[in-house]
Amino acid sequence: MNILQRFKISRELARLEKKAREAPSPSTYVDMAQVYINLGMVDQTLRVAEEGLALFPNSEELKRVLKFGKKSKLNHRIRDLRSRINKSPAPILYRELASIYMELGDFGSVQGTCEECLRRFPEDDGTWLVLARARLKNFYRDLTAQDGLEAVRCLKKALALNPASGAALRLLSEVFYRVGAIGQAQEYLEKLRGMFPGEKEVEALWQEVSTKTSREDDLEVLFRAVEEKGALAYGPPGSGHKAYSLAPEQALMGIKKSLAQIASLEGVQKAAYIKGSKALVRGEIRDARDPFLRAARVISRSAQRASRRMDIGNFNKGIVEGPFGHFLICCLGDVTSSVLVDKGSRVDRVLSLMQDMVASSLYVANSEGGR
Amino acid sequence: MEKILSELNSAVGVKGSAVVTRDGILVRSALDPSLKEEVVSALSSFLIATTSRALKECGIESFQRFIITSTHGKVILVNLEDAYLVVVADQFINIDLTLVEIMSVARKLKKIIKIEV
Repeated sequence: MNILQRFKISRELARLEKKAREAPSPSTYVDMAQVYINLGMVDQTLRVAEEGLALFPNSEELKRVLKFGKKSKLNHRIRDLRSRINKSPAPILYRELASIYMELGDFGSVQGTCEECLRRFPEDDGTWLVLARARLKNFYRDLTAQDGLEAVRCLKKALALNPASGAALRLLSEVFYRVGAIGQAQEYLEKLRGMFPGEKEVEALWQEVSTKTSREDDLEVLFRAVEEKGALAYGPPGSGHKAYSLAPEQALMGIKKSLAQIASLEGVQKAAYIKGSKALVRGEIRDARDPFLRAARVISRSAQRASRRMDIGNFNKGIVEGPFGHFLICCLGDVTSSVLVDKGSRVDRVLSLMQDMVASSLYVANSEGGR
Repeated sequence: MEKILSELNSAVGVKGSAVVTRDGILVRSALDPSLKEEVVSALSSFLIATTSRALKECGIESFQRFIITSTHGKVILVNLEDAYLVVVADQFINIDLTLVEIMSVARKLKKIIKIEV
């Protein structure tokens, strides 16, 4: 870069810095970060993005810039670690490298790095732990049985190599609890309690686990059930997760009223409010085994799964259209509302009522849980 | 076909589009680098198959369009008879306006696919 170019850039930066101070806006910060990106100044990019986000926490563009900055910084560290591994390989370097890949969401590289490390240092329990953490991250995000089972295998391997690994015991107890393998969760928690007597977190999990009972002990069956249902048996420890119930009596009245209102709209054939295995229905629905309810569950579950895998967040709303009319699905948390309407009906109106019903029922359920 | 898809991608908020067959074979795609071809085609095929099967159980033969709205984006599947057009967009698109564009592209693609078959 010649002197003239440097001068131009520093003048542009000074102008943007001044603008950001005088009239801050997300675009000013993004422009400034862009200049730093072009100059390869990663730390400055991160500083600008963080400052911008402090003022405009909802700016998607600034979030993207921050993510990019972090990624660039981590890429520097990756190169550094790779060259150090080539010179003198050590498990700690591999573990750090794998953790960076995990932070970047590159699961293939996490696995590759761990496998490379385990070929050289097969007795390193820490690498099995990193691999297990990556699998667990995928499992909690996508609820895929294969990831969950593989995480358990890695954790057991880590424990076999180092029976005093508190982290492996903790992760195993938690995943067993969350899929509903209560007996096995208790077994590992007992070991953990012996190792860390009186530790608050362990005791809290122990209390929570003690109140539950196992309906099934086969891990494969439990993990497959989680994948099938698209939901874990229990929420994170301390969340006060309760077993499924449709809603408290008072809230039920509100839901029934909303459902009746939706069903009364012109063109609505079937309407349902679904929570877990239970459902409230209106319209031409025969019974709980009506294919309409099954279709609503299947479609919302597969849309949820596809959304998560495509990295576009949680599925909220689905409209399936065809000569039959519209199959509408509205989903929030573990609650789904589904309506079948004729062609030419006011879909927007129906959808807005469905959203209100689902959101208000969640509000009631949450406030009840908080009491 | 690639040109048509690229044109569609120039619409505000569209991150990528692809034509996939029911069994997940990618016919053509024009996707943003953040979207992996194999992931989009596999998930689209999964969505098409599960939705069609579930609807069939309800006595519904097929669907023309499936619009998925998620917290950080939207996916639109359009039935082209021999294949499906898949459009991935961000959450801020004006769906009504973009749908007009998508359906016009779908019509063009339908003709091309028929000729190619």
